[in-house]
Amino acid sequence: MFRQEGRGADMKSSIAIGATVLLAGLALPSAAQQDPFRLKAGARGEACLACHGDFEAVTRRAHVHTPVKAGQCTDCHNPHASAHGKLLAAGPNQVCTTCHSGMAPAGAKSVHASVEAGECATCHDPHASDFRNVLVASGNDLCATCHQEVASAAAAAAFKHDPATKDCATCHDPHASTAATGLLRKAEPELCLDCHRTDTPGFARKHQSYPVERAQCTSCHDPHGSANDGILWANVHAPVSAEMCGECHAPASSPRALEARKPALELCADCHAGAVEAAMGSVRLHWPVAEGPACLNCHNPHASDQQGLLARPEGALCGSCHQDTVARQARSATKHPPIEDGSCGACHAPHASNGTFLLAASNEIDLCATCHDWQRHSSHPIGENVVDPRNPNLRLTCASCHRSHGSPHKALSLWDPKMELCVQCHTQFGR
Amino acid sequence: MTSSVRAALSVILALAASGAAEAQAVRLRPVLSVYADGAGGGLLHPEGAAVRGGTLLAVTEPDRGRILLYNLSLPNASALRILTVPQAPAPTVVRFDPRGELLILDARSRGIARITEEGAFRGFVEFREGGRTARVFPRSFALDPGGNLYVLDAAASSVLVAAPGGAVQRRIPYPEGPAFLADLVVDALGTIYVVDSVGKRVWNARRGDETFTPLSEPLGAYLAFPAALAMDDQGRLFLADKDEGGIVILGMDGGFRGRQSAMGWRDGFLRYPVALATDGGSHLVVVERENRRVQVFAISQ
Repeated sequence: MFRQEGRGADMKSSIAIGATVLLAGLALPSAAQQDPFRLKAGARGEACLACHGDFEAVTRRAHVHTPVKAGQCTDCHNPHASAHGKLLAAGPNQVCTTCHSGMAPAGAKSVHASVEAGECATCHDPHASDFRNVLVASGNDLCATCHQEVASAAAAAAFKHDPATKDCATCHDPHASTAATGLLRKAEPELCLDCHRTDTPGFARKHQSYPVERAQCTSCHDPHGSANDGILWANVHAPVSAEMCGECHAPASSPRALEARKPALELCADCHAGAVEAAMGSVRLHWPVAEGPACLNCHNPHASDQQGLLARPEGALCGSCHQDTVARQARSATKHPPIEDGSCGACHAPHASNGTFLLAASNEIDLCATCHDWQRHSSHPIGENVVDPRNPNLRLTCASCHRSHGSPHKALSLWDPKMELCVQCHTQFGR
Repeated sequence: MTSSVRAALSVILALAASGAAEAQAVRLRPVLSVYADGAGGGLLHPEGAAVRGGTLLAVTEPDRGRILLYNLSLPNASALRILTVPQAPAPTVVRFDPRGELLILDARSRGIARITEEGAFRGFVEFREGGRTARVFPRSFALDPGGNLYVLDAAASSVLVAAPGGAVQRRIPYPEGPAFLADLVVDALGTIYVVDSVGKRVWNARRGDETFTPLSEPLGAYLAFPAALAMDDQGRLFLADKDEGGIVILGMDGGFRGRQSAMGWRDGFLRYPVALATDGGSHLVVVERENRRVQVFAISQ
């Protein structure tokens, strides 16, 4: 009986102790979170400034980061030690997202590169700034620090688009966009229609009464300004500049007015018959010429900032399919300048060729010689009369030793020129 | 042990064994290299090959407008004859139909020509769809054992299935997204397999499917630019990595089973393999455009 009572008393006291420990355990982290470094009374916001006195001027700026204003230096910094620079409490990629999560929402169609990289300090001063949102510079000046080319073109454009010169954030979300690519706040044409009315006679006249309010405005217009009236892109397809939309489209009154009259290849051949016939009659066709949207795989039919109405800069355009070739050049010890410059067309015929690799010249040696003319007077024997010792069907050419799109070895050599290259053929000297 | 238990165990063991075999890496062993055209010269930029009955090899040379026939008796091959067809001056893809005739995709006319083994031109395949002549832009094609045609129609971005006479029976649209299909094969059950060079992936559509579904994962980790596809008698798929000179092997389930060979000049290596064929058995024919030869590999596990 006694033992039973004793056991009951023990149990009660154990439960009480356990509950106390549990409650204390629950309470402790909360207290620790509030003051993990157990600063002395009055030390908050003062202890750090005792040494970092010059920091006080920073706090007098127009826009001060909330933790700085509250003297909560330890929100971001560890006063004792840290594995990260500037005694940050977490890596620079994580310290901001502790409070500012969701800057790049899941499913975003575009995310600013600096946000993706967690480089918030590229645009924001983590302590204080004279600019709103603690930005390191004001509006467009800040964007121009990285996007100088766009900013300069916008400033120099004869026909300006106001938002491009005044506030990039009118159209772009600086962090991410769930609505559109290019960090656009809305997809086209909704974004444009926020400012531009389409129900005016002038608008209808300019657009031949085509229902362009349902189209993609940037197919013709450069949203950052242009040297062309109507901020059309620098290169405009002749029927567009001649306001002859009906050359390619059904009449404006047609319910299918925005569709082309024929499949792209047939339609383009109406004017570009020579180019289309030459491509189709060649032994080797660049298949995007015929695949699906055909010409539109690479060209914008209305206008473009690129020569030849290319939809993108040439190197990026070709690289969108030939990623492996671009990647090989990127890894290469020596860079081949035409690829580096994005001038794929310097060596290749983009539509078709009778030769292999869609080369623009029938003879590979002649093609290389357009830039490397030294090989004509000082070179290892190459040409039609020099049989490759490794294969009786091959002749020695530049490609016998070099790989034009990149190699781990210098001079685009297929093998290490010191030890491996020559002995591929001169085997008697090999080890 | 009862007979039913024994039967169940043997089924389980057989399944386990086949699974293990499926998971094993597949190897290619070089058996034969064809350099000569049989007329005192060498091959020039061959682009296509097909094998009939394991004994007749056809190779196309679009730059010279020739189709070269070889008697195949592995590990040897002997040149049989050279065909030139004026109506199809740039032959690329070649297949044998069940009657023994050759079907040739001509790069100049963009048509599929039918020729005899002796080189007699039988005409172009005329595709008819909805009672009218269909405008078809073939990039590659395959045949099933019944002689039905499966064509990558670039212009329509669809795989067209047509009776041997050309009557279009159905079309299966290319997979969604920017898909650049380069080659296809059809198995005995009528399942169509296609390879996307840019997406680096194999898709398939079973008989009766209206769309393609992905068979493999994107294969960018294993190859750079798949340009050709072949299937052996065990349903394994072989992909030619054109840009990096290699053959990637997939199992029937689309799983990676290995990569064989590498870029190089010597026998066994590859430079710009642009077409593949199997001999109906355990050999893979690889057409190397830039090494100007055709190699035959034995497939082993």
